[in-house]
Amino acid sequence: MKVTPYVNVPRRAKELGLVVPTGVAVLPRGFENAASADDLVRESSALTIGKILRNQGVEVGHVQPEGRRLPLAMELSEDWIIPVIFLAPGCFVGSASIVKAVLRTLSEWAKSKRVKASFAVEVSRDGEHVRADYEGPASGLEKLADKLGDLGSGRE
Amino acid sequence: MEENKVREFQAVVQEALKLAFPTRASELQDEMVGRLDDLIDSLSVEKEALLHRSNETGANQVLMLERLAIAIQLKLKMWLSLKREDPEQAWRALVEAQDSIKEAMSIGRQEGVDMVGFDRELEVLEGVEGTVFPPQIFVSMGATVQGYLCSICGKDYEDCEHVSGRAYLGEVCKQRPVGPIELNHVAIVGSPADKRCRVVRWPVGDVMRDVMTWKPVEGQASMTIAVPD
Repeated sequence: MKVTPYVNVPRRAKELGLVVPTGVAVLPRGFENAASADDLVRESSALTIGKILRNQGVEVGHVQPEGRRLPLAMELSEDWIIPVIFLAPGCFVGSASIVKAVLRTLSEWAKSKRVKASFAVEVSRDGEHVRADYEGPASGLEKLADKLGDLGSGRE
Repeated sequence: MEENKVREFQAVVQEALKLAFPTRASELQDEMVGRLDDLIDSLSVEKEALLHRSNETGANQVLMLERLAIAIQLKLKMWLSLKREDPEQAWRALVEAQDSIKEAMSIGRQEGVDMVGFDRELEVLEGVEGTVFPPQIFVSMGATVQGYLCSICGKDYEDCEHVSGRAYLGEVCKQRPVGPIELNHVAIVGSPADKRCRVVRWPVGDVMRDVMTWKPVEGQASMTIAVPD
């Protein structure tokens, strides 16, 4: 898992005129660099990810303009490209069961595919965010729980 | 599904697998392709009957068997096409056979069915890909769409309860793009979603060659890109 600095997600969402995420939310492609919301698209897997997580009791938001749906990218690759998933601080409270549920569900869904997954996490009370990138077999996703937990609860 | 129908399925499939080698007589393979057509038709009828009795689990299980029968039929067609010197048709049959087995496995996992043998059959097909056919250059399309419709209910995929890749009422849910598809790039990729998307002609030095046969051909470099249906 590779960890790099990332934009403050709620602040950036406000700048772009998007719904500010709470909980688990799917970020559109280009979220960190886009000049405006018109430049944003959602990953093709975003809709399915929302559904499979919801089926496991995890509510998922799509970060997009209020009342408007962003277009969807269509990438025809065998690899499963998971959009950047924002995990709000509340996800890491207690045993971080929400984070574990997200990772387990994605891992089970992707089965034997290779996945590219990224998670945006707030790591300090100052609003510092990081992005954690993973690329590898779907089975490796569940093993990220502890590392993401350390990031999200500010222990890194 | 009734036990006698399961036994009939197993018997035909076992016989078909015995013929699924390049050395087997073409006329026997042709005949088996016809028998598998009949089997697939009868599975389709059985599936409709189960749906009529609101037995979704049964219908999905029959769909799994249908996909498996189709995969084996395509494997026979692949060998037949190669023997008839039609490698393009053979490649398409191979890729569709692999997709059919993967779909059967996915449905099997969903329905909690023991799939002993499915993995092995997929490995065999992947082995054929790597040893019988020359290495391929795959391409993948990147595009943008406004949305998708659900192939099960016809509604906006974003709003319905169906999940792409899962079987419902004997049919696998697929996302159908809606509106214009804005192509924004074509890339060479190692693992395409659709292995039919590949370079078919390529210049080697001063000579344009067919990637499969290696014969010199007229014209410019070209590739096949499949548009999702």
